Amino acid sequence: MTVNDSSNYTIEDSNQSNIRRAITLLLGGVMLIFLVGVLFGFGAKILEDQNFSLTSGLILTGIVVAIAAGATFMWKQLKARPAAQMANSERKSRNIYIASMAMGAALGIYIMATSGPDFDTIFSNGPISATTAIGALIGWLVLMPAITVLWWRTTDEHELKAYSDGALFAFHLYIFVAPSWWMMARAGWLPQHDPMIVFAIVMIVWSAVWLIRKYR
Amino acid sequence: MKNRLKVLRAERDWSQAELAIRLDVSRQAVNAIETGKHDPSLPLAFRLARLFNMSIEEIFDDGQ
Repeated sequence: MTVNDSSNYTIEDSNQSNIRRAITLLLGGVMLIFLVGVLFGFGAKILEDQNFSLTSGLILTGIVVAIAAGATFMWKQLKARPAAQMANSERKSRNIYIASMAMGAALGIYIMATSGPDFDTIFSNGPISATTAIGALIGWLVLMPAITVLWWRTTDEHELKAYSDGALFAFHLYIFVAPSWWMMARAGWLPQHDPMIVFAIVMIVWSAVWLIRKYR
Repeated sequence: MKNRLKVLRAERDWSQAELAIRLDVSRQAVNAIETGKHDPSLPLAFRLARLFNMSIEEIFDDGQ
């Protein structure tokens, strides 16, 4: 679409639908990652037990169908607004965002696939091999920062402000949560401090504030 | 900060998406500026002023 095209992309007051779409994408993404994890876990368990049966085959097929349906739905949601109706910076930013989600999912699958058959490998504090750790660290410390820098250089100021507001809010939350938990653990009121739980809380709050600030 | 963006856009029969493309920002950014939820940076304010062939003060009103 050129800027003079009268094809009428009339979404002037559709912030509510944008919020719904963003939440759908977020929850859908989490669900897809969960399903992929279930597929890997269940598949690995079958291989480990050498337990091939019609039932397990049907369950595996069901999981694959659910993943395919979910991925198709997500793709349609992402493509609901044609790229031609976006500014260049917004289109690039969206593509980088999709790439980072794919990177995160690939990293999770890699850890699960190389660390053992149990689905909770990725969420546990159990030991992993040096090979798995090096692979994951390359993804998290090299590729993800590169993608983040690229995203910062591409994204418009309004979204960067929303992202920064979320980061500031989450940082303050961290300041209050981490020492409080540490104190309460020392007093015997809570189990030992788990950095990954604090990390998850910070990331969820950061994302929530970011989305609210962007689409409010 | 108050501004005349919505009126100026309507005078040209542009949608928020069309203005966003001209400014190379997201539609949400245009909406946030129009509703006063986001004050644009100076570079973006200058881009807006050039686009509408006006001065920044003619578009934005800081109430002073």
